[in-house]
Amino acid sequence: MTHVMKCVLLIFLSVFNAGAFAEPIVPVPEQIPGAKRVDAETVIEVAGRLKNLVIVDSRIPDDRKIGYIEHSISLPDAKTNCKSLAKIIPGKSTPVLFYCNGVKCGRSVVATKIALQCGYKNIYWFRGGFEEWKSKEYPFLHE
Amino acid sequence: MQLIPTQGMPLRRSLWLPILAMGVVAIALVLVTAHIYRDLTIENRRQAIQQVIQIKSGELLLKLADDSRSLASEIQRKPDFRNAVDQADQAVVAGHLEEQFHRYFNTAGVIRLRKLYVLDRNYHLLAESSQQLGGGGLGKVCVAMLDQARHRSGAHHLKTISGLCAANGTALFATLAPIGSLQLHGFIMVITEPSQNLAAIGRELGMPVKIVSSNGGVLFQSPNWPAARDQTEVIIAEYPLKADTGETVLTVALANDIHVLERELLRARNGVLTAAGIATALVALLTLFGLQRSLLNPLHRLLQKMQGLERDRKHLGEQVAVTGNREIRSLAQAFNQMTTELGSLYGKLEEMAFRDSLTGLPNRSLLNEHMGQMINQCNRENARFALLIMDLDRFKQINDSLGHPVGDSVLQQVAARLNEILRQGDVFSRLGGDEFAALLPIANGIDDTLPLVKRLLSAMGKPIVVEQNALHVGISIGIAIYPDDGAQREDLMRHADVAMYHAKHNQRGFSFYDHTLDKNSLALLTLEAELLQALTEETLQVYFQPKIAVATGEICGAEALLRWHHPQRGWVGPDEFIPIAEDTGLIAPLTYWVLDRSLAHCGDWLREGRLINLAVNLSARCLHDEALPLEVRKLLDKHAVPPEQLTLEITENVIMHDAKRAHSILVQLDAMGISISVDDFGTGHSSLAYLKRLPVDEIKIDKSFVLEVMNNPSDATIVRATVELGHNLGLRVVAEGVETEEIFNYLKQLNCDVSQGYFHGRPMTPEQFSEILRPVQA
Repeated sequence: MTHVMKCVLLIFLSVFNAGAFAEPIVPVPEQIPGAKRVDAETVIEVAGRLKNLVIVDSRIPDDRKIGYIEHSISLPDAKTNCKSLAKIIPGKSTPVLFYCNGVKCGRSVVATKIALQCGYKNIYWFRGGFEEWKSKEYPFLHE
Repeated sequence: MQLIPTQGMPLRRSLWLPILAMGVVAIALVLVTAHIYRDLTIENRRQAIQQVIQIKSGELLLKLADDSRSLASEIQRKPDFRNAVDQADQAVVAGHLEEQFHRYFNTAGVIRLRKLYVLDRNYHLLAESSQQLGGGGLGKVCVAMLDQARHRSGAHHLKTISGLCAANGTALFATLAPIGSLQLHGFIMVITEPSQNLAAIGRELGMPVKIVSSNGGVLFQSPNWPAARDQTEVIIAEYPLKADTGETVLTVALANDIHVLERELLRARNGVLTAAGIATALVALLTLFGLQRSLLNPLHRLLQKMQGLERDRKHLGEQVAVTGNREIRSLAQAFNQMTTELGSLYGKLEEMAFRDSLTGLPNRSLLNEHMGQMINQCNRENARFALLIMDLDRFKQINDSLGHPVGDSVLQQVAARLNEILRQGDVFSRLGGDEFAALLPIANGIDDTLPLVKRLLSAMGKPIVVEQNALHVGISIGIAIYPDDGAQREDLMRHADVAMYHAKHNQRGFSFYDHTLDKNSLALLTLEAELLQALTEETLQVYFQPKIAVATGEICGAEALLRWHHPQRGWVGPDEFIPIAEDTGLIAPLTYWVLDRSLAHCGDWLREGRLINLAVNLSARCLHDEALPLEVRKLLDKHAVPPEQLTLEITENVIMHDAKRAHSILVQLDAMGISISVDDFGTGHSSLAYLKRLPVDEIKIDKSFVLEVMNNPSDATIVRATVELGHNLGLRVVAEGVETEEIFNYLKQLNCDVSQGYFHGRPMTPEQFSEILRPVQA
């Protein structure tokens, strides 16, 4: 009963807030079990070290117009599933990194969780996302 | 040190001055404060503008950095550019740069592009745009920034850095942006000129701006930048912009017109000045008002009172209102107390000055004043008054025989008795001694006064009782009428006096003045004047009568005697003129004259070796003269006569009746070494006990006893007893009136010490005496 109530409330709030912020409210955790949380510097370090790193941009295409991290592949979370992931990631052990707009954006969380369910083993989660990248004045590209 | 000289200045002005000075100081303070405030305000304004320049230029440079990064981002957007960089294809890269440079330089406008460089990932120059940058080569432009970039670590190489740098006297703004995002391919360095962007500060703030490079070159200047001569009315705020190395690259200056500010400041200053002036004036007025009430007014009242006192002593004793400060109140209280005390003191003094202390009657001074008033009144009313001068008869005898206390009592009773008879409006006065005077206004005629005069005479007919002695004291009254007998006060007095002298002799007891009286009375009166004249004209002479030492028969001394050879009257005896001298006060000069002359001779004889003891008679009046011992001492010194050689003779009566007064003078004379002799011993009523207490050295037996000593046994007894008595008291005994050898021999038997009389020699001139005096031994 309480569970049903919670769900109803959650849906209600989601619908209501989506209109206001065009951003789904998903509680962003500190950690996602099974994924390695990284910051901007670690992203650069890992990208330099692992040449086969796949960077997934989980934002919607509109957000990506602001700018994107070089070599990232656009795959919004809504389209993320085992099949779409398999197209861009060669193997289950290939290192893969998810990011979205930032700490308020839950898309990378959703995508990371999906990737974990799909059985990918080497997942990096850039929690700060594009906000952190930009604020630290790291270069990014425009489409 | 006195800052404001207020000595001798009126109090009000001396108060005004400091208050005025305080006002001036206050206004000066306002002016100085206003000046400091103005400077501070302008300095604050300048600092505020500097802060604005700092903030604005920061923003503008940030914008410039953003624009430069956008440009760098735009340049590397084409993949073939990135590939050319990766492959180090300089020509392609340079071509891209050239194309982009012109595109941006021409179209963007927002930045003034000067140069583009491309570097490989190791910061080595790969390609550059073709524009010349003055100094040339990358090695010279913004070296410090490149060095700093090169020494970064790890991910930091991906960060874009930008900053000001000076190159060749111009200011540049460099932005170093990485090529690539995740992977570093190289760098694009965008060099721009910041002055144009910074000039926007002026536009935004609405102030003229001037940008100057580090070497003073003007990089930008607004057209309305003030000329040098106008710069007094503007604030120039400058703010230096620095490279990361700390080196100043350029200075941004803004000019702010302070016309308005100055005007406001001036208005504020004038406002404060006016307020300060009004406040000072108000405080000064209030202070003066307070001081006026508490200090100046009470002081003024005190001053007026004082000046009133100065003009008229009658105001003594009048009180002043006690108001004002505590000090002023105590001053007023002290003044009141003082004026009260002075008033009563003045009253007493007046009493003493114008009243006779013995009888309480007005004295001569007050009589004179009354007479003056009466003369004025009579002149106005054409009226007359009588002046009576009354002198007691035989008063001297009472005084001499019964003593001064009795005399004083007599005078008091006489005064009371006469006063009873006189009417209201009459003025009764004691002139001195036994002399009284009265002023009687006359209603009808001279005869009006006669009954009154007779009543006065009859009042004195009854005896006066003092200490159970019934004394008959007569009175002689001289009357002068104003204005008949004299228009002047002095004449009137003199004529009343003449009439009084006449009355003494006419047996009626009174006499009206008549000018025929003058001749007679003046003869008596002039004796006094003539005596005075004699003192100066040398018609007086000192005679010497020898005194013989009974034991040896030789001259041991001399008594100096006064002789007056009157040019008209012939010889005048001392019995005649001495009483006049005593009555008129001439006795003192007369005594000193005798002392002076006799001591002169005595001194001469002494120097010739002829030692004699000189005896001089002292009148009773002389013993009232406090100056006597000093005068005697002076004369002794003058003639070099030792005091031991001088004997002063005083009659027994004087000693007994005036012993108290005489005592201190006698003691002083005795202390000097002068001998005191009691003259006419045996005629008075000596108290031996009294005599013993006085410093007496010698007694002189009266000649009335000595003359008859051989015929009258009682006289012989007296003489013998006196010699014995004198010796018992340790006194020298002198016998006077020795006229025969018989008497001298008798004295020898009695062991009398000294003998004096015609037997030895009559009084003689100094020359004659000098001859009989034992000549100087060779």
